[in-house]
Amino acid sequence: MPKNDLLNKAAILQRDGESYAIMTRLSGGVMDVPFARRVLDVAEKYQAKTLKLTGAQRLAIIGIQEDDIDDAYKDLGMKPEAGTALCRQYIKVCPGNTFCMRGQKDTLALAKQIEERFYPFPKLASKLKIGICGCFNSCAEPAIKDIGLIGLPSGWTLMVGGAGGQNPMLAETIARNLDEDQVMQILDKLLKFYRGAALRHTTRNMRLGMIMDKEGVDRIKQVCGIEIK
Amino acid sequence: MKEDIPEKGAALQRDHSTFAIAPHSPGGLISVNDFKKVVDVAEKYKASAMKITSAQRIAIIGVQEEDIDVMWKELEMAVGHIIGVCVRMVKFCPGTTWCRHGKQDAVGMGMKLDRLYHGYCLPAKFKIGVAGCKHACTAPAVKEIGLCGRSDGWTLMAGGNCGARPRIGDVIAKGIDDETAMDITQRIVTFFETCDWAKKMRLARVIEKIGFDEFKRAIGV
Repeated sequence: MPKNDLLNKAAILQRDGESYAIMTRLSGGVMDVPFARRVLDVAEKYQAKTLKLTGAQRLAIIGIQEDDIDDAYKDLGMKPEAGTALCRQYIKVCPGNTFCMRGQKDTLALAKQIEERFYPFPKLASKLKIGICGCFNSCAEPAIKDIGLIGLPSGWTLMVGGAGGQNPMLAETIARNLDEDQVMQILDKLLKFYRGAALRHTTRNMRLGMIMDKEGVDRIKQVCGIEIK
Repeated sequence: MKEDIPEKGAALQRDHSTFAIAPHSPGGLISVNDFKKVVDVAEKYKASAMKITSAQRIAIIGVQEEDIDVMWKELEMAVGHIIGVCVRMVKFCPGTTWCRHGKQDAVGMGMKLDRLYHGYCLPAKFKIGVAGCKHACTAPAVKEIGLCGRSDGWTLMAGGNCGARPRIGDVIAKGIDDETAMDITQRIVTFFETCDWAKKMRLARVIEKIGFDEFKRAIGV
């Protein structure tokens, strides 16, 4: 039988049809040096062909044999299911006011809060990509994420409906000047709506932006409990 | 008062005292051996954190200014142009080298473009993205130049942007081979280079200003 992706182990079959890539799940791509050392040890021990720093701020270890996957995760000290719905759900985060001079908000803390509360969030209509930036320069590209957040001194700007893939779409701003609690409340409503969309045949397999295109931005605002002007 | 040090690829951090550096790792592909050097150096010079960036680099954060030179020497890797008015990155996906979805050799194309343009000085920040299939995982539609692989060749887009004023790039050509893609890329770079009035104005704004037809005329497409 030909091999396939092992989604429960977050392992992606490579082009050779034989070996796999496994991913370390890092919130915002940030890690400490001892963790990097551990990744290196695993890559060496299981004779990885290469490493790849991905656009989703993950660290992929490429060219791992199927039999080694479980041990590799064990050595990494991570659970394989940490990457459930791999490539379908991720949060991309800029360094925010933790590191960057331009950061206006604590993006890494918000990302952590969102991950703890919502990840993984299965049975959505389609992918869920979230981008969180600490300033207008938008280095985590919130405008092409299903949900984009930009931190400004006055609060968070929330954008919805972006995509960067085969049908690129720019997200629309639906709320401004939100605090963290308001962001979490809106995400809760929005994600439940996105999950509900999976059950409706008119919106199944549609990214949030396509649903918004079809049903209107006011519908999204209404769902989120945002006042429509 | 400290500032960024572009020639050393060092970006001043929020504490106004330490820096971040990020070795050049085209396409995010980094050999186990190079990764070892990065980890060794980060450990030796007591980096406070490491971060995988959107530009497919690994940043070493919390570096002391006096350590930067010796760190680069020990890394034996090229400087990643994380700051400065230049071609910041050529971002590419695993393409036909690794990924089962790949339709075009994104790694080969990305490497070629990277050798030619990474760090190349232009009137404004400039990003290039190459994706090997229609799923477009490197988001070529929001790069100054984006290449998207299809079974019949490359689709080339220009003028995308995902900054403060985002814009989806315009499609310049479809179904083109490697050579044509390189040629059009060079023409766009040459055109942008001569826009000396476009100080720090990104290509998206330049195209909006002169109009798409005039832009196509200027690059001879």
